[in-house]
Amino acid sequence: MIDKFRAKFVEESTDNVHDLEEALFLLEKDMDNKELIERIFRAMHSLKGGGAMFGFNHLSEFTHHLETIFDWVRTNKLKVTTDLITLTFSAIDQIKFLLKTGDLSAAEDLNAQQNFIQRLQAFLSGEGSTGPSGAAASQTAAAPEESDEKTYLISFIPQKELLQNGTNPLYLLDDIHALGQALTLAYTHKVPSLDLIDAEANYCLWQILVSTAESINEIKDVFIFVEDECELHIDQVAGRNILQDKEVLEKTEKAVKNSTLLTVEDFKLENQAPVAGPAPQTEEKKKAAIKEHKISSIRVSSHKIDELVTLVSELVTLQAQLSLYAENTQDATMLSMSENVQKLSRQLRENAFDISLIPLQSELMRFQRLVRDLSKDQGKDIDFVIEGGDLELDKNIIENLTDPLLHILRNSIDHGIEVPEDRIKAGKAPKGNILFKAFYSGANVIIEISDDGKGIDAELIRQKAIAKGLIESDAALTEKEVLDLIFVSGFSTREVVSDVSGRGVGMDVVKRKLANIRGEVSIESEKGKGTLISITLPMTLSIIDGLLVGVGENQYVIPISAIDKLYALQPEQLKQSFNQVVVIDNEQYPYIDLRKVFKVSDAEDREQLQMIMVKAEDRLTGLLVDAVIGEYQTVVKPLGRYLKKQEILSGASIMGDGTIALVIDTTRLLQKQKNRK
Amino acid sequence: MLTEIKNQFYNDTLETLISIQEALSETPPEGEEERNMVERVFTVSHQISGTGPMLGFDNSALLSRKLERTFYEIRSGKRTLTAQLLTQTQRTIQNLLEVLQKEQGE
Repeated sequence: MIDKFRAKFVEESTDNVHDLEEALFLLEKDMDNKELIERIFRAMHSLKGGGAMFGFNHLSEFTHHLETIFDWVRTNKLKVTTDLITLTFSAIDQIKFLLKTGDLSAAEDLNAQQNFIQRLQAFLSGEGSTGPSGAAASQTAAAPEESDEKTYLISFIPQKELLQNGTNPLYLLDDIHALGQALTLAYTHKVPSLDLIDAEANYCLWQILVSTAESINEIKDVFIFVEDECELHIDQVAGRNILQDKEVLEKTEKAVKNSTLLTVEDFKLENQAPVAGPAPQTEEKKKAAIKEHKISSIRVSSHKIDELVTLVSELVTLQAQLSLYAENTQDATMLSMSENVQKLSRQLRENAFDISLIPLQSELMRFQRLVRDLSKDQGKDIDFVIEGGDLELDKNIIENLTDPLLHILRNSIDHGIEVPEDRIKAGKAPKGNILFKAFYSGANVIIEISDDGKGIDAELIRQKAIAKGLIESDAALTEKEVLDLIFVSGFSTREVVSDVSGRGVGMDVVKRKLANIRGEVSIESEKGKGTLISITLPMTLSIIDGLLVGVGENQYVIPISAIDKLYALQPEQLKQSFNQVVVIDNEQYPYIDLRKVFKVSDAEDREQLQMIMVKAEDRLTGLLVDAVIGEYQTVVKPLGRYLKKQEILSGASIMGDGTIALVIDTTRLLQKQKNRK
Repeated sequence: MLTEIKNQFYNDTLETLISIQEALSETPPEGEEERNMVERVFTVSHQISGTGPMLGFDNSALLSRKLERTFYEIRSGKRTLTAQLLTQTQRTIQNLLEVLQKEQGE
């Protein structure tokens, strides 16, 4: 668990360090820029804090000293100089190194770190700003390190059978390169002419010069599973990194050219060469270590992702056109091509949408903060539990989801959970519970927020609604319908309006906001026991699986997620129906004739009818259409402002042949029909 | 009968190898976990080397013998399980999986 966070920390810190470097570059040009100094200070501060938390103690300690310097700069106790910037740059390299390796264990590394810290401290005391002491420190820092870097010559001469068991020698070379700086010489002189080549045999051999601080055993380990299939020699040829030496490079070039393998003797001279310039080598090593850092994720501006999704949507539309055309031509080549395009665009679409999903986790911190702060303010003790935080949702949905969720949570804390004394009186544990639970349910995501507070008094709501004129005093409502009243505009049950919730713009706003992202909200509550609010959301906004149906001359799309069953009906069956209720399989179902809804004339007689059973609020209702055309994956486009007011359509989709099919919002259609009754 | 045994052996081995592969791709094991891992790799490679040739998995056996030998050494403390070794083990198991599948004719 903590390892996951550690990786995340390293990733984020790498960003941080990058930012730090950037700011430092800018500072170099503009040394009095307060904003940049603040930025640098902040970056260091978070590195220090995070480092300590995730077990990067050396990093934290190191950054602490650096932070102190910039704290002084910030408070004008110290001036920014080129020396300071240079020092900071090399400190950043050290930070990268520490991020890469974690806490240091090797004595020489520890030594170097200690020396560096002394340099930083010297800078603060004002004596080490320039010249000898700084340089000396860096040399002592580096001195112990250079001695452990050695150069080895590896001769890797595999037999022909090497490739037979799936061994890929290039991987092994990669592994050697990961140990340090390396130079690979590939000898191909044994490769025969093309007609003699056995495709499964290996004809290459390699020599690698590697400069590393690792032991010879580490190198041997790389080849452990190919030992039997190759001739292998590993020899130390120098006690330092000789890969930059001109002479060595010349020799290697010559060796490859003449196809004569290098031998240990070739390096005899280098072995005795004096040790020169130790500092660059440590830098080298660090750089090599930094270079190894693999980028596991990248940050892309959300606008680019939106563009990608739009383009993919267009592609999906175009592909639908293509398949239609291909089917009409009945050309075998065309059909298979269009099928492949379909396959590819489906994969691409899934990929693009996967990219645009972000984990809910990103917003959860705010919720936790809210619960913590509010419960403190109100003297309540609340245990906030989150389940399913790793669930992923469309970016646009998450953006629109945060406010409603915050509001619901506020309500739970403000109206739901009681103060400890009251809870004890009610026979509950003094600590209240709020459970935030997110999970997948088919093509939907469901988020439930439940508390074990005092619940909602349905009678109170009812009276309030009557007083406000929202319902008639003799209206017969079920308990659920009464609770639903809190979603009606202008409803707030709290007598005292607190600054937290209950400003009259309450749950109705929540409902409206959720409706914008095709979300549904429902509430269950038991007085004295608690409240459960559940939100049903689509996973993505722009593409739905739909059923294409025909009504009159037009085509409509009904989301498959809402459909339960399809029935073919004879017109006679309808004629026997009464009060918009039809009997199918000995069950009675209410139905809605879409011809009436979309005002299609009934003049022509319908020969065959289709009844689509859709589910809403645990009840099945039939939608009567003329024809079911087929399943259709569709890109939903918004309707634009002229059509925004209509309620039963959630969007439109462009069909393969260029016509438009409107997408029916079944939930709202059923609700509207119910209200009319 | 033999085909049945062969299939059984193939499926079991594949499953074990894949689960080891998965475990290897997580964080490097330590302490008790490491001992378990070494034991698992040794056991499965020992099985493949022993039973493999009987069922026609000759190349797989050849490959797994290397694993067996190395992990025998680790097990008896003659060799330490380094990060490098883990990487190479992962590679070899991947190869082993491929060779096994080839020999099973899949």
